[in-house]
Amino acid sequence: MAEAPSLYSRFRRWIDEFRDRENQMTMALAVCVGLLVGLVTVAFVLVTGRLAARMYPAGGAGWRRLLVPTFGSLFTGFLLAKYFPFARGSGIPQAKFAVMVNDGYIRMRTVVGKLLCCSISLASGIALGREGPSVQVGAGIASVLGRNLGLSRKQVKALLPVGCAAALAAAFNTPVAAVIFTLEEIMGDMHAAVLGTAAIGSATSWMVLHYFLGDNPLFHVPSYQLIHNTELIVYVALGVIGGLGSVAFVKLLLWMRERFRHLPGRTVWIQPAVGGLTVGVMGYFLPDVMGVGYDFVDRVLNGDAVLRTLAILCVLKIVATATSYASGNAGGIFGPSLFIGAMMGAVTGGAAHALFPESTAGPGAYALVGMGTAFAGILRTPFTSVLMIFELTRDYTIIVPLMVSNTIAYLISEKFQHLPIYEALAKQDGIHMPDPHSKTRLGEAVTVMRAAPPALPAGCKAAEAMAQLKDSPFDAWPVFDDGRFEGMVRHADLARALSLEDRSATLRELVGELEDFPHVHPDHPLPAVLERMGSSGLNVLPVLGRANLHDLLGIVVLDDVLKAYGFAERRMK
Amino acid sequence: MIRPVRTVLLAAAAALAFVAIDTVLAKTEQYETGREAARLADEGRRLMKQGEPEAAIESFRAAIANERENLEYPLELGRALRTAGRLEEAEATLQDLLRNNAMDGAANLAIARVFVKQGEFEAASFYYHRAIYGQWKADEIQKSRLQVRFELADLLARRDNKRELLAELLPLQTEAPGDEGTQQKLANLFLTAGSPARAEDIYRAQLRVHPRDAALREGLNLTTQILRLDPMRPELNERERFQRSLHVLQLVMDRASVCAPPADLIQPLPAHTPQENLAAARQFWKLVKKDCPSTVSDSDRPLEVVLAGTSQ
Repeated sequence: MAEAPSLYSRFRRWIDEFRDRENQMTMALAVCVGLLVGLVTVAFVLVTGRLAARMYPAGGAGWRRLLVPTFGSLFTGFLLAKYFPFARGSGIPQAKFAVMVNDGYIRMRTVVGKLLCCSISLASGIALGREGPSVQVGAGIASVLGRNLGLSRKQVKALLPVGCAAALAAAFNTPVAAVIFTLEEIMGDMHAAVLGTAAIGSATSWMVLHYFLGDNPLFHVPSYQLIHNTELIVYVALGVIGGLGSVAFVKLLLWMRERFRHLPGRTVWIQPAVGGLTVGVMGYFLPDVMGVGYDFVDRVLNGDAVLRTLAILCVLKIVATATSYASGNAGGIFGPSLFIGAMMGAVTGGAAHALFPESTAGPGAYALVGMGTAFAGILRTPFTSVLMIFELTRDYTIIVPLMVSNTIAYLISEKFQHLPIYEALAKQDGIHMPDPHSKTRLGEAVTVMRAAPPALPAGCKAAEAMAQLKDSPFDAWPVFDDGRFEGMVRHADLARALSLEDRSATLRELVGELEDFPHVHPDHPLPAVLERMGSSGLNVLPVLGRANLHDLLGIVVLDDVLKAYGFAERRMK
Repeated sequence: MIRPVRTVLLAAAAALAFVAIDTVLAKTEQYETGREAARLADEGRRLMKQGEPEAAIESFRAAIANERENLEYPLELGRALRTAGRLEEAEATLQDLLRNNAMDGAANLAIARVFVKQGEFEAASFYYHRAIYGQWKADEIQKSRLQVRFELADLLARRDNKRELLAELLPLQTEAPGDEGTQQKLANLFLTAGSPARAEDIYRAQLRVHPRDAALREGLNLTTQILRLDPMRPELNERERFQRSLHVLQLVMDRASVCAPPADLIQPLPAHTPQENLAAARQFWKLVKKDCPSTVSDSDRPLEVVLAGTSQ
């Protein structure tokens, strides 16, 4: 008689069978990820909130507000530099990078580091938010779980948005906006196939939050409405102010971050302390600038506002958040955006109400709309911004002014700050995010990519290079320095150097900034490749890795692209 | 294959661990914020007692921010706002509270008081009624409803709305406790409502329990005088009614003659109905009260009640 299978072997077989039924497994995994991420995020939110209340209590001594953020950021700076380099900043660009470029790979160490460093940062009163980090943690949990379950890369990648949506739903108490944000910002595609699983993950995580913390919106606001039709003019003005304020904030943050990045590498661990000290000094005089500041926003939304204080707080928060983020602290800009927006809105509304008390609502209504305006302007997710304000406040009466202001802020921000903030941050880190809208049925650059031609050394002289390449069909060639790709030298540049009788000029001098040279990434669609070839006048472009621009993967040649379009081969040059 | 199994088990263990952590953290959070909210609310109550409603408002707001589930705090905030004269904010706060539970007795009473202060008596009356039939804590339901009814009755008496007042007093008569103070108050309100017979019943019933109570006896005398004077008693026939109305008119004229010499008085037109006599009496009584109020004394109370009682 055959021996009955053990419990363990039956469990193994069940998992094996389950893995083969992809749809069921995806749904079950979405629930698991939602549950785990919800539990972790609730713990994260509670720990940071409780610790902050102890570290710098309301009405506490001024010296605590000065020293706690300074030493807190000094400590996290050390941890980030020494152990968790990928846990810096918001977490949203990192999650996007993992989804779009890195095959859904996030290390467990990064998840732990993000939780630890952000908890310390936020508990110390650093003027950053908890939502961005939660998104990275959520994506990280999904990634670790998926990889360890032996899922394929594609499946792991599909699981990450579930983690992102689940984390945001629990951190912000906005299950619908979390899904929309994941599609709009993380995936960059409102029709992404992960919609169903993201919704399941978000709902599961939100239920966890609901179970532990009850049914409370993040902000409690009285019911606001449009007092008079002419009031829309004020909301238009708020859209303009919000848009310009958002641009100022983003530009300041990026500018400061670039300055910090150029400081010597040995100062990396101490840089966050600059942000901590800035917040500490501001907090010494005005405590409300510290931390996420949602309690203060709640008061402003309820009309409890002194115009002058709000205006000062708005400016201080912009500087504090920009400095905290740029100096390399762990924390996001999601929450601060809402704070800044609420202040901008309340100041605009307060001024309007003082001038036209009969035909305008109080500052609270404008603070509410201002939150959405800054969110749309800074994060450039207009759809999410409208939905999020609905969910945060559960107030649907002010929809039209909200949409008007958000759209204006979004358009102004797009006009004056071409790259959205998360893409700009990734670009500063040398990462070029793909444009998810550009996929076509014709295929991607990788399908026509060929091996790179023999490289030229950077020390090679122009005349020697010209002699070597006179029979080459291409009009640009890769240049390497110590085995590292440095750029492409054009035929035109070599010819110009020789015509100027600058025969001794080396290729190193002729090769410009790598970023400035037209290039494509493997996932670029062929129309984009053609467009770049057309605008640069080159018949060959280097194909570079998104995570590292010095990683030359191959080249794409015009003839190959045309062949892919069905045209006959044409002669080069 | 071992790895996925281990991962599932580890994930389950992690989830259980986090459930425990979250439970502890959530309980701690609830406990700490609840304690802080209670402290702030106590501070607010102390400030209210000291007559500092503005400072109390801040404390109550902070208490609410700490513990939104406790609906006592918005109620107290609403009361503090009313005391501070910030009536619109008080109304908004209490309306928010009523959105949670439209039948909250205490919140309805509080908003009714706000409307009284705003001079919106119809709205006040509406919310008083919702408070009367609303939800109260089980141990204070009778007492609270009675208190609200008396408060509404006082308001109606002040507004001289006899019909509605009587409608409020009838259920009060059955619900009110039998203590002397409450019953005397009820009897006085019946008198104001133009129902001296009911007031007399109450006084007689109370005197059977407290036969030596001077206030009750005085009340009974007053109601007896009113009943003897009142020409509109239902048991009277038309002739008796006419004679009583003439008597009332005569009493008013007597007071008027004290005020001005009889020769200067405009004689009333010969009347044909009790209503005409009473109308003339009321007109002269108004003149007496206006031109020589010093002549009106406590002994004129029955006359005054009769004239007021017949005006509706």
